[in-house]
Amino acid sequence: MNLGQILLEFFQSTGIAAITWGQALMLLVSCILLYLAIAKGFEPLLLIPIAFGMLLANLPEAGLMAPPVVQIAPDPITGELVSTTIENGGLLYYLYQGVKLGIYPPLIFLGVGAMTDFGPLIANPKSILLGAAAQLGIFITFIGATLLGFTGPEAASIGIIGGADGPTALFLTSKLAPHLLGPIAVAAYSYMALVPIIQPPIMKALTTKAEREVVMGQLRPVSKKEKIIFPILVTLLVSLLLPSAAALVGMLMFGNLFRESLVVDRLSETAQNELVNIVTIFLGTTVGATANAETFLTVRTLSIIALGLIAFSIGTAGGVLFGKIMYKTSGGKVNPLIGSAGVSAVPMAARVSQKVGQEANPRNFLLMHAMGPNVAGVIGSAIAAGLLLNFFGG
Amino acid sequence: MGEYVSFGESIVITIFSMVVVFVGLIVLAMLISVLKAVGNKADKTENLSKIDDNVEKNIVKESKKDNVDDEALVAVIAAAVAASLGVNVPEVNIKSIKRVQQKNLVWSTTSRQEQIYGKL
Repeated sequence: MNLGQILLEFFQSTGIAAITWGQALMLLVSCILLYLAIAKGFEPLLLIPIAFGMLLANLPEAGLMAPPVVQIAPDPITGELVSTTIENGGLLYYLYQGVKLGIYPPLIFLGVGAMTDFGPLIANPKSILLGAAAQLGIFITFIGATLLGFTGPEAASIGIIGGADGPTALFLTSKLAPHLLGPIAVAAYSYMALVPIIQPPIMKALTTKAEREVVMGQLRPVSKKEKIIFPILVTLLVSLLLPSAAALVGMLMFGNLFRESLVVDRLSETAQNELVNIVTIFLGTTVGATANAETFLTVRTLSIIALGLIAFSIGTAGGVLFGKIMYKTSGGKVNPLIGSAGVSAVPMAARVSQKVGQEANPRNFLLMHAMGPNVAGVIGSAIAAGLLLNFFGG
Repeated sequence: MGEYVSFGESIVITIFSMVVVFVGLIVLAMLISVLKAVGNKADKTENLSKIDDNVEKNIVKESKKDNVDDEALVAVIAAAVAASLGVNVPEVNIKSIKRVQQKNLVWSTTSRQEQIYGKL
């Protein structure tokens, strides 16, 4: 074995020799996403793990996302079928099981529940309806996606981007169309980061200046008892109505009960911080890792990204238009701008309502009013996901 | 990779789903309104009695001797009481404000309390 041969063999074992065009392009895409996350601040907490997972999964020869290889052969002596593991599979493959089996998104919801104050929604129950109206985007996009030639389960997974709720979108997609997880995750989280850019033009186009200037009265204080009963009530109601939404809504409300009961601060703290951070790392990395060249570098990815934008926009419009109806029926007491917060994207969408409202009238403070539809949107998206799972999950 | 749905089917799914989302959340809104009635009734009486207790037992005092800016002082005390009880200021019924003799220094009381809480 001479030196030349050693060098040649070493070169052939490197990733450089094995890299395909697709992989090289995916590595480039992941670097662009990393740039957007770090330099432009696009949801960095999620986009960094997603982009780096994408990078890891597309490294040639590394096999981080490779499933285990098992051989089943008859035993030469006994003749029984025996399975032998030939290769163990990659690290990310095992972490990915938490996505595939629908474990991570409900755990994230546990943390989200522990972080969320449902007080504004309890104080103004009518604002829940705005959270329902903003789900229109999900279903209109679903119709659009079926027309573009996506199958029912695929179209449902694309539509749910309009719910503007990452865990819900991933939960539904992992059950209905796992091959689309990569593009859907990228679209959902990018649009959530772009909420402050996407929403204001739609909100301004659909409302008059007088409507935007409406100052809403102060919310009533909510008692501790109401806040404790609320999560139990929502879990019972939603899960009895729609058992397929129980995993998401149940965990969301479980986390909220940690928070509001005031007797398990340690659990509440853990759910809000350590747990949610750890699960986010696993979820983001492995969702990114599902994006390989064969599934990601297609025209379908572009249509998913376009449809996602439509879903977001229609959801925003649905909320604002319903807000206008409430403005009329309440005799001008409801500012329709809070409707756009119904798409979820907590708390970004509520901040956008506040900002646009304050531009119209500097004395306007819509933030707490918008938090009502905002958190209702989370429940509404979870119900919508449960419904789509009912239709296509079987 | 799953079945294709026709345009008609997708419309039906959309209408049905939107109706369910709305009905579900409307029922929730109604239940919350009921909750408000129940929760607040119990709470209001509770709050009022709490406030009376507090005012009588503890607190809060006005001294006639130095008539410096009493109204501001009363407003501050009322706001503090309301904040600590988690109610609105108009719900706090302050009957009288009387300065009580301080037996221990506030600082030493606080430090003792914090020591106790720290060990809980």
